[in-house]
Amino acid sequence: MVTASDSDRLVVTGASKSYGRPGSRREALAAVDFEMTRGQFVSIIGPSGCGKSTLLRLLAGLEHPDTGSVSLFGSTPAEASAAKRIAFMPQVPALLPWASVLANVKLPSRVNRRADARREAAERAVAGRPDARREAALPVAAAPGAPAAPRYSQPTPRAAADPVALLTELGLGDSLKALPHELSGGMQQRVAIARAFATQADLLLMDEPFSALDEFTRESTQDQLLALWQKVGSTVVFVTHSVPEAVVLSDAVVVMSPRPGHIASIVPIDVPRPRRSGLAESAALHEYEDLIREKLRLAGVELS
Amino acid sequence: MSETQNGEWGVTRSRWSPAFWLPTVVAVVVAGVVWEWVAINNPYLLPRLGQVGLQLVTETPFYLENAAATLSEALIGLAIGLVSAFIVAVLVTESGLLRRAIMPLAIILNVTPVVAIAPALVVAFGFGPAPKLIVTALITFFPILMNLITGLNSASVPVLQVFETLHASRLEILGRLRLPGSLPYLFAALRVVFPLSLVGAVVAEFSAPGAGKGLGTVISVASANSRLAVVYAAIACLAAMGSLLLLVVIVVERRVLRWHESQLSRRA
Ligand SMILES: Nc1ncnc2c1ncn2[C@@H]1O[C@H](COP(=O)(O)OP(=O)(O)OP(=O)(O)O)[C@@H](O)[C@H]1O
Ligand SMILES: [Mg+2]
Repeated sequence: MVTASDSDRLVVTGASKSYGRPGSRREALAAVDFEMTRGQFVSIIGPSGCGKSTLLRLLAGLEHPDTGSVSLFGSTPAEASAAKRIAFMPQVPALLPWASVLANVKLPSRVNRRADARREAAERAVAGRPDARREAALPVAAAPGAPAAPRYSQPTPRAAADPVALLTELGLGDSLKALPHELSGGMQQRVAIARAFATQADLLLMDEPFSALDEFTRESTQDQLLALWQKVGSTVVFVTHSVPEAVVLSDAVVVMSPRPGHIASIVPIDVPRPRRSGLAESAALHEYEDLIREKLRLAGVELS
Repeated sequence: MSETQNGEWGVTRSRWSPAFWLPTVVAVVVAGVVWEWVAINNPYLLPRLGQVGLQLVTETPFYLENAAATLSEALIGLAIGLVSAFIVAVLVTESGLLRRAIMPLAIILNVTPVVAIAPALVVAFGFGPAPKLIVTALITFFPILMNLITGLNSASVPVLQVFETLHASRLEILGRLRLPGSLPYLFAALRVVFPLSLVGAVVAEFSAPGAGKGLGTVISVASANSRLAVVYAAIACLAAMGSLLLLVVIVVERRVLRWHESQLSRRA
């Protein structure tokens, strides 16, 4: 059997998690098995309380599974987080209200500097000479629909992590000095996206980041997220309540079901990108949406 | 923020329009008239406002000198209270062990009426500045401590999760998240504690009468000699200083907390 090496896979094996005191324990996750390859965009969908956020916290290393294990490209979540290779984006923008937009995006580079020093040393050791790193990290242009594997074997490009460039790309070039409360909700969420990408993480964990946005803002923010992801090539795990959002964004959709939380099925989305471009694509997307709604229904979820 | 602003009902209200300042002026005038009426009928209850004013004008250097003494005691004592409350708040929020050790003592200190300790401190430290600084520091310590503890613990879970995923150190979380987040709570305490520091200094001066300078000394000596105009002139100085201190806190707060809700929802 040919499988990707451990360093290119995210693997969750038999992970379970319960909350509450002994006696009245509540199983939030029951023996979840789940695997994805580096560079994939995977969405997790399921009804409220099925353990999506819990699974994300296990991946982020914010909590530990009671049983089972989590391996992020060959490291434990704790190791990956110590090396600043995980970016976590909660449901609310979670910006620092006293810091400017730019300062908020620079936050990842200002804390845990030891990880940056170690990363640079490692990259120098690999590249042999200091400036070879930049060439090696240049993003390889991805043709639409091209097989995903080769372009992700590169480390996260450094250029994409420049806070000003990121904010400009997200349409916030005029608001660098603004305070978060001076921005709309959609703009704040885009600042949070910029902060996540500024981390130069291998793994982006996003917990319903767009659930508070109106439909138009939501679509344009999704497109900006996709554009950045395709340029940077990080791995994304994206929790959402919206079937269309999951389908349009993802390489695969994980359907979860509650009591106790487990994975009901995994649906690969085999539609070339960009996906909002033509009729054929949108028809294919609709088929996937129906398929996922069916899976959710089979998993016992009442859809409104 | 501009001078004029649309109020809730879309009516433009200006600081210069009578609707804005008239209520205050009327209230002050009424209070003044009542005061004068009482002072004329009961000369041993209140001095005439004119006498108080005359005191302040003719003896200005005397009052300035004593006000400066009280103010410096108050501010130095407050600085000691602030710094120690800050250190204790950080220690107590960072370590459960220290919290269990320190908090009971801090609470016992708080329920002890500090005013009652002042005479004992004079016995122990003499008539110099030490007892005044200690009383002021003690009286300002606890409000600052409690508010800072609440503020340091006020960081929201999602923001903490972002910091934790980045593997930020405790020092980084303290400096970049907990401390800035505690500023609104600190300023709420400072609004109370700046004027309160004057109370601490004056009470300590009462306990060591006749020694050194200070408005508290002025008041206790003048009271003993039934010189009401002097007593109330000193009290007027204290009131003015208290208002000034409060004003300083509010002005600094507006500049520092531009980002905070309390400043965003402010109306003219
Ligand atoms: N810290 C906690 N303490 C106790 N119970 C918890 C905790 N976190 C989650 N749970 C429980 O675990 C279950 C799964 O919660 P989780 O937040 O992972 O669900 P979710 O799928 O993210 O839901 P939603 O879509 O509403 O965000 C729920 O039943 C919840 O009550
Ligand atoms: Mg959730």
